[in-house]
Amino acid sequence: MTRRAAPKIGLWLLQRLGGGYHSEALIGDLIEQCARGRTRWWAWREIIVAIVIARTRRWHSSQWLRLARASWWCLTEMSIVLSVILMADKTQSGRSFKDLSAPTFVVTLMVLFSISLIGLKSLIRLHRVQRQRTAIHSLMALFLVMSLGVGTLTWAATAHYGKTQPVPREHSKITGTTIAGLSKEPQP
Amino acid sequence: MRKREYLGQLELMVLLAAIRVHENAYGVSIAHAIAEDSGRDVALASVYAALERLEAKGLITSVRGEPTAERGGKARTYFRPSAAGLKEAREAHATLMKLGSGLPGLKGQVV
Repeated sequence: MTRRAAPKIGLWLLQRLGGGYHSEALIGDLIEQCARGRTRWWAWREIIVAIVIARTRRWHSSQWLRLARASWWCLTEMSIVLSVILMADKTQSGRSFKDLSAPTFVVTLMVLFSISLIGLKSLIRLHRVQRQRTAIHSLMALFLVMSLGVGTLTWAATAHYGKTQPVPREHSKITGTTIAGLSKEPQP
Repeated sequence: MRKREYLGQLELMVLLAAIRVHENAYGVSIAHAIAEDSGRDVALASVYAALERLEAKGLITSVRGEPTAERGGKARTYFRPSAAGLKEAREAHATLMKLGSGLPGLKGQVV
């Protein structure tokens, strides 16, 4: 049997551009098969196919899917925060059971809960599939989640408390006197 | 109830080949088994891609072997079908047999 060496440039390219989960095993297989008499043409064909598959998979997972995942995560987090705020607001302000069982409130809460549950389930499943995750990616994800959480809470608080602040009596009616009063400095 | 994910043709072939080879099931031996039984030459990278998908679905498990000089110091990765993988292969086989049985166009042929 003729002993051939695997193309070194090809293996180097595969190491650089392949990057699959089992790329080391694949490189080993190519070296082994070339040593057992496979042609260099066969090895090059395998290398090209491996690079094309790896690149295609990486492109698919890195461009649109990442954006979709980030958007989905954002939507899920917003739903969770909004549902918690909504529930806390309704219960704290001492509303009656009639208010709590109002169709608008119940439907809104159900929609938010559904989005949260579906989002969390799909994200947990996705996390299980992803086996290789570097430390920097995890840190970036953590930072993104924290900043999104803080941002959502700030936005929700501003939107909520900004609306419910009492309007000064002198500004509540648009009359000649109030418009004149607006131009003056506010009274302490 | 857990949603069932159907296997692709290559995934099913790789799973069946891994079951057939049993011991010593790694990339090359699985590709050889497929080539022998189906007459198709399958690229090693396609086999590994299918194995990765099967592993992600929990139908196959992998174990790293010892690195050898013949392989340039690279270790082999051996694959074993899991209990779920065996069940999935059995169910897929039964489904194909049921679908193919009694079809006039397939009479006298292996389904």
